[in-house]
Amino acid sequence: MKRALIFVAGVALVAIVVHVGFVREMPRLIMSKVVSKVAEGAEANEFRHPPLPTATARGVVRPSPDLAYSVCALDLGKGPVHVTVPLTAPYTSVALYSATTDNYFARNDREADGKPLDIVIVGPGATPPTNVPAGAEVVGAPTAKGLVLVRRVVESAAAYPALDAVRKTAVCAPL
Amino acid sequence: MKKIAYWGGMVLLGIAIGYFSADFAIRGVGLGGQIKVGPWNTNLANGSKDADMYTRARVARYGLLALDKKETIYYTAGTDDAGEKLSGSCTYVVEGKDLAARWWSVTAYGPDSYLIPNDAGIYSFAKTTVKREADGHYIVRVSPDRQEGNWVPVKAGESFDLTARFYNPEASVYAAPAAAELPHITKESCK
Repeated sequence: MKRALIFVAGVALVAIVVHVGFVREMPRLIMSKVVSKVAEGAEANEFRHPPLPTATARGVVRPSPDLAYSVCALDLGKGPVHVTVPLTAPYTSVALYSATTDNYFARNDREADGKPLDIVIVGPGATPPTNVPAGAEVVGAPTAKGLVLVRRVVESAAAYPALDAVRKTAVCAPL
Repeated sequence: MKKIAYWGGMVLLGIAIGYFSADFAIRGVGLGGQIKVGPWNTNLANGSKDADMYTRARVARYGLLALDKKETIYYTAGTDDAGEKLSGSCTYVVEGKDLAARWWSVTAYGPDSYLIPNDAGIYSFAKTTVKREADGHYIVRVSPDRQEGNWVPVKAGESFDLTARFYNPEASVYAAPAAAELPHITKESCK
């Protein structure tokens, strides 16, 4: 009888640990896989500007053929990162994602009134930097690893070359 | 021997119950809050700072890197207005007005959720590229065969679906997503 009780309690304990561990760790695992996939060999804290998605694109499912993406895999472990992004009409957004999938910051061209985005991203628990450039906004990140994802609408094929040149002026670099 | 079966059984059973209950808790509910407009479906969940561990796990699996509903809303249709599965062997008329957003597009995806290969290099129609009728509304044909006017190619013999994207939707859309206006999808002919 006592052995049976201990067995049931033991099963329950193991089940709870596995259940909670699985649910908690899955977002982090999926996110780190996706970040390394979209960063495709680029260094951390550096923008990549992949070409417009076509039928051969296999990075992420359901890519939008009308969006020019820019991605920067963040690593705030060695200090804050300075990000500037030109925001163009008819729609550009900059979104910051944590290592646990949270979207902790988003800004689009309309909110920014067409001005470029200029932010300094600071890791969790880090002291605020003293050398923040004038006009830059400080954003606190919940995790050191993460992703900057820029979505820029390309309204027609003719508009692409100019927008491609503009997006390449974006900067993601250690402060 | 009995001892190994006792402790081993305890651990294995615990792992199995833990794993399957976690998987069920994440999958069972999906993202919840499924909203339907005719054949179009959406849900408004995304990765927010206030999410609990189950919501986070669901977002990681079903809605990774999504944006807040004020930024973008996506609707996907896998059937026509009559409720029949979209087939690449048929020609559909997709007809509607401008979507209520700063910019919008409608894209076709194959059964593997990637863009459908075609010689014309056309994957979508959008606010700034669609040709319009005199009153401003548009008629688009989704078909494996080249069409006069607006055409989005699909692949004969394969199913497909359509995703409508609203960039900066009007407040009315995210306040009442079930009342949004989306294009009609009508089957015209099949091979």
